[in-house]
Amino acid sequence: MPVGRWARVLAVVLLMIGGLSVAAAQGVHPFGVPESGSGVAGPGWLSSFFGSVSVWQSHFYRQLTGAVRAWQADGGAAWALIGLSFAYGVFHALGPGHGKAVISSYVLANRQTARNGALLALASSLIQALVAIVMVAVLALVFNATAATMNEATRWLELASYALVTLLGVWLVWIKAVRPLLRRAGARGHGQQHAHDDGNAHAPDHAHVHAHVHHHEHNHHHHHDHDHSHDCGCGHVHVPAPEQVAGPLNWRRAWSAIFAVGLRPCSGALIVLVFALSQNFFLAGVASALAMGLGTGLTVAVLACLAVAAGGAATRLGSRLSGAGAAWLRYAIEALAAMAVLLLGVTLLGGMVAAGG
Amino acid sequence: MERTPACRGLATLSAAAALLAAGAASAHPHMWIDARAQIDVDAAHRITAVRQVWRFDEMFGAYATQGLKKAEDGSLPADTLKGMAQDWMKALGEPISHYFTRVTVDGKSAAFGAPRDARVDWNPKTTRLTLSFTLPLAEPVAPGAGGAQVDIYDPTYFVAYAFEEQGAVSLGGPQGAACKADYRKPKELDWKTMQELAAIPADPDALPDELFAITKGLTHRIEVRCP
Repeated sequence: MPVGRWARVLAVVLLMIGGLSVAAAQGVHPFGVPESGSGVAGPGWLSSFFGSVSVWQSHFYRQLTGAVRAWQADGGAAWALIGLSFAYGVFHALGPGHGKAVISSYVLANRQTARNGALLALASSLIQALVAIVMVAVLALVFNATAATMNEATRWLELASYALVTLLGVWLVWIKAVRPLLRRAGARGHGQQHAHDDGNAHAPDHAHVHAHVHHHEHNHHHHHDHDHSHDCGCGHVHVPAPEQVAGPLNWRRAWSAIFAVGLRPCSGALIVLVFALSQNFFLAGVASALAMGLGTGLTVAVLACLAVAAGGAATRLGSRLSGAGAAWLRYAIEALAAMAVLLLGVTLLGGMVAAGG
Repeated sequence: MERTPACRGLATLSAAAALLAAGAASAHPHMWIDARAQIDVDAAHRITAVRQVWRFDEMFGAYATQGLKKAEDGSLPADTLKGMAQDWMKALGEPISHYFTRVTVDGKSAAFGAPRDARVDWNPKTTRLTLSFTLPLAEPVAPGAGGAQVDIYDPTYFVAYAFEEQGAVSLGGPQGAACKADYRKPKELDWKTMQELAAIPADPDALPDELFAITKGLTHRIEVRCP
């Protein structure tokens, strides 16, 4: 069982994640527009991919003004704006950004199903669009605030978003990386295998065994008992594939991830909204922002599904090796994903503080 | 021992991880500028200043003027425009921005003096703002045999410049007619350059020179020769 090789590869992935996030620290652009910076980093193929993505993104963005005016002149041209905004959203999501990182890591760490991952992605993008719409509606439409005020508001939302990512990361690392180790250390005396305990703690649990469990998810003592009996009953380490833990998304928990991602409005949406407002056609801005959100949401949903598939593939692979190997691998993936969220939060927050808050 | 599927699984996992963990916001233009540049040449055939006119796109115009007190006809008060010009010039003067302009002779970049005549104009009909300023060289430089290179661009790719209007690039001053200016468009970003850009540490002080070295060919370049 090549645990050593897995460990090496995981370490490399972790380093890569770290390296990528560092580039998030950056300064402020001379012209006052809310934009979270400019560092492009990562392996070459990734950079070039982001390069072409950004070309396409600009291509669509540049046409938005014309589309707003076309709609104003002719109601039938609404679809042109909506289509362009959707395309912009898709390419926006394909570029680097913390949203998809947080959602995908959250999904991996919590062993969510592909369906739940997609729901999370869509919800967070929708929230992001709504935040932009509400912000411009309240600040610009109601209070006639200036660009400087809106930039300030965006920075506060950004700070809140990054702080939430960090908190989410701390919580995930505790649940996914630290506590399982403590549990295992505690349980070693009984000769029990508990490495996978918390793999199940968040996803609604196996319906066939303990249908009642998800009513008590907040109470982790239940899980200890549950896993005991389960292990004893089956005689092997049970690592269910995500499909098996399918269930309704735990919205109470998911909201933390949704807000962590959605609080910071996308600058493209803000600018389009303000432009539409300046043309006395706010509705067009709202439609555009929502279409961007849908495009971003669907794309992140696909990425989240990919993350779920990759996590599932790795687990199945691990379980072919040995029961203990599978549990270890599952733990490693979840702990790694949890750490990725924390690292991302700390880096983003640090970058903001370094750039002068 | 299951090496192939293992590798495939890992490849997928690491590709997904890399993609989703890319925390850096990508640089892509959020602002377009239709630019004009005039290079002043003195009686001794030396470059003395670069005069620039940057007309911003309409979305930026709408955003930047949002909430500002406008007159009946949509115009902005003179002191508002003056304040805007001051703020932008101050920000552009930061080392990291370097006025998005660089004048190079014999591989050495010339120092700028304090910018002059900075002003902002607002056209409420087109919702476009225009920033004009003159960037004097601290010491006039003669282009010499190798010519002088005037490069204009935003290294962060947040601003996309276009010198596409008729006469966007010209020579002025007492002896402008004695010299010749050739304009060259930036080439597309290639993979290797993106990679090199990515390797630059996020240290604002070190940035301009390193970036400049890497991004040769990615700038809007005006080649000035005074035969």
